[in-house]
Amino acid sequence: MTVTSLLFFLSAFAAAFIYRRLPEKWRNPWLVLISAAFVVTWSWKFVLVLLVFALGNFLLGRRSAPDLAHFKAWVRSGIVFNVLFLFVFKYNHFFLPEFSTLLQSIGWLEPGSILKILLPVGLSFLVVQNISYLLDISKKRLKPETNFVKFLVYILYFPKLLSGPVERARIFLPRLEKPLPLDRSLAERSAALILGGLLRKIVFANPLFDMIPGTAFTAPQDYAGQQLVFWLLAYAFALYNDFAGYTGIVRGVSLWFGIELSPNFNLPYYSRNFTEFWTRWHITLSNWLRDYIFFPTSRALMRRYPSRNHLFNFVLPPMVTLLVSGMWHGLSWNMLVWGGLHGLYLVLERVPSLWRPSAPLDEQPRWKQRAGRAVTFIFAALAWVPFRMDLPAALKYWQGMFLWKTPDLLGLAQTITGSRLISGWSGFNLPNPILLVVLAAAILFDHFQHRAGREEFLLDAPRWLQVLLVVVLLGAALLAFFSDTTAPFVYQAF
Amino acid sequence: MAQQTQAQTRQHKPGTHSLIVSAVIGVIVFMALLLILEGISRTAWFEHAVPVRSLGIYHNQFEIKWFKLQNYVQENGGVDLILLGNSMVNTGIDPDVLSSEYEKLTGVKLRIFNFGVEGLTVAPNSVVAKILVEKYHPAALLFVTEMRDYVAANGLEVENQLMADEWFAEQTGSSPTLRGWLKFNSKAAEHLLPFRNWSRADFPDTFLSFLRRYGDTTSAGYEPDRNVGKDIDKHPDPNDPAEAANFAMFKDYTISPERLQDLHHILDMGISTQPVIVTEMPLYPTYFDYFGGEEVHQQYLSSLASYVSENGGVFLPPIDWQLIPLEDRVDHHHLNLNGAPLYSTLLAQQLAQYCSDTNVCLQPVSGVNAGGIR
Repeated sequence: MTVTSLLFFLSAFAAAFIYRRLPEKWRNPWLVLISAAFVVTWSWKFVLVLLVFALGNFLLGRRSAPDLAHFKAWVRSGIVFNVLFLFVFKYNHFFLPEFSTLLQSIGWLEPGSILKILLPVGLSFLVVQNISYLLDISKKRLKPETNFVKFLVYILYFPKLLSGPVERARIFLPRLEKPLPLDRSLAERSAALILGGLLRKIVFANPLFDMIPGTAFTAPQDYAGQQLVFWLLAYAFALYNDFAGYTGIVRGVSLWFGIELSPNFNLPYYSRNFTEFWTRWHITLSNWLRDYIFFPTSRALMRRYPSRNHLFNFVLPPMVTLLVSGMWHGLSWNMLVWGGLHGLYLVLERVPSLWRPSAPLDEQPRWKQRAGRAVTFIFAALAWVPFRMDLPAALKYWQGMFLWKTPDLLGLAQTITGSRLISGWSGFNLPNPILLVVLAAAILFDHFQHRAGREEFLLDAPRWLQVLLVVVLLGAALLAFFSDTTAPFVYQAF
Repeated sequence: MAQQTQAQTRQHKPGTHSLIVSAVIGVIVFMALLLILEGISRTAWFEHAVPVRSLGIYHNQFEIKWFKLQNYVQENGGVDLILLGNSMVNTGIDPDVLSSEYEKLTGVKLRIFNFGVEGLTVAPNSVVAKILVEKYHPAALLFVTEMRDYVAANGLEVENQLMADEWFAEQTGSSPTLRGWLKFNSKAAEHLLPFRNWSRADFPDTFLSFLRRYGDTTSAGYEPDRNVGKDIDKHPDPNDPAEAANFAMFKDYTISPERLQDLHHILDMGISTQPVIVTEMPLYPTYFDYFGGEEVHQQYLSSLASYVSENGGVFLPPIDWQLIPLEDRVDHHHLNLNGAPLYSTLLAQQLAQYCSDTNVCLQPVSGVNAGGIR
């Protein structure tokens, strides 16, 4: 069940209605039940895998408290348990063919057949959440959860299951104890988040993804440079709106249950440098990486090399953090390059601070902030190339972006005036005009949010604009209902 | 800390007006707009002013033919003869020429529409024939067929996609869906459906191509082809990779019984119309290389003629291919805008000759309202 389907909203609304009327002791079991039902819409097998996963972490958590003997060993075991889960279910393409061959050789598997393991929904997100759960217990930031049902809600809670946000147990679990009361303010916020999320997903992300031909990412050399540039812009905004839209929807739905989920995006393309970018893009994962990779790496290196400007202190923490981020997205060379590029960006932008401390971003001249935004966006967009395609294609894509073909403006004029037969659009070597309109609308949408200064900016919009946006959303949804394509969420694959 | 965040959240002040109320207003406005569109779409003025419509199926050309026929019937009060077949019919027969030539020879004025659609073999054509006969009640059908129609594996992709479409399911009454119902019954949907794939990468190309083809296709359903073929008289090379698929598909040619059954369904339409006429286009002989040569073709024609006659149809043998010069052809099986009027004239002569020989003549639909949409 996708979170943009009518069935999802109706089911979630009914579930929240019942939840609000249940006695307190039945609320968490109810959340487990409906979340399990949600998982079953993908596969009942996933429920079993996630139950084993939850039980393992629950038991390991009980052994990880620092007042218990060998707690460090248990924490390490817990991390290995989670990483192993990830390897078995997500990265099995590395070993499954060989393992299948081995089983075939001993006669346990029929010749020619290959073992297949399905990736349970949201596993990558669950793994990082549980590692932080175990580490936080070991650092006394959190007491081990003693109620397995409550812990199951932490694992299975359906609004955050598919693609986060990556919630820390120490923040999420207390929220289960005291759900926010349903009042007008909460209902309005929920509506703003859901409407904003749906607009981002249905009106911006899906069309922008669709408008990029699939072969652009496999054979970019077949296209004119200007097309590749506009498709990269489209991809950058599609990816952002896809994930930000998803997060908005699930945060809004979660408020029906009175449970606040953390924000994940804060206008990342308004970032003035990459340090700021990583506080605005996939915030919950970035914070996790900062707290559990960057800071520990920095601290460990500082102990060995006390100078802040030592090459290792300067280079390794951001590089290691962003490489881990790349690996989290997928164990492939292109994801490593994507992570590596961002690590490199972070290192390079810190170079001037070796000589003199840089002024806080808000205090820098306006032109410098704008230039910073442009540069950050351009380099972030360039890094999306290996994020989307394998390395040989990515190299061709980067190369192809500089090989522009002269647009056939004469042909366009002749076609418009009727002196030439209509032969299609692609022959003119011009960007898809619909893509430009959607891109402009997506940028404008962000601009409104930026001016309003909050994610729920639709609450401040004039009535006519609110109504217009609802009409546009319904129009796009109606056309999508009739269209011949479907568009899953990109981050659901991670 | 968590509780602090929760408390902070509650402090968000709602705007001066409720977004939820705006959302409700938005839904009402949207519904009202749809109703207004539905109402306007049902006016003749709107249909004339905005001719671009769609059935929401993947086959653009089928849609063009469908709406052109709808317009044709509205403008002419009905249709007497519908031509069925594939792309060869689409570009190869000009109904206006056929009609005027036939009138010249017999004195009978026929309203003829070309419903030849690219890629449609006898299998989907049998379904299309039934739909058209039930909707427009023509006096006669002329089905232009060819050897490929009777190869079981040929044209399956088009057939499967077209027949699996919700609009067809709604037409034939099999597994109806909400979407299919809307596609079939809503005039507003007809005008929105051309834009349903607005976000696809190929939309500007396909939409412009749709507009062009819609404009190119005459009101009688004929779509002229301006191309002039090259090397039509050269035998196709079985070793040429571009030709390999054709040779593989049509070697060891046999007529599929299932496909004959589909032809039977078309011939059955003769019960409610005049006998269905079946013929073949004047194909250039190199075309038959794929099937094993002219001898195989003659065997096929002989079998087909017997089958058509035995099942109540009329078989007109193909006219002499040498009557259509090479420069009037696009390739060895399609005619261009010079070949089509020529063949249409020859076909009219053949039909008139058959009429005078057998006294079985094409006639317009009788009765005042007959032939209109019922």
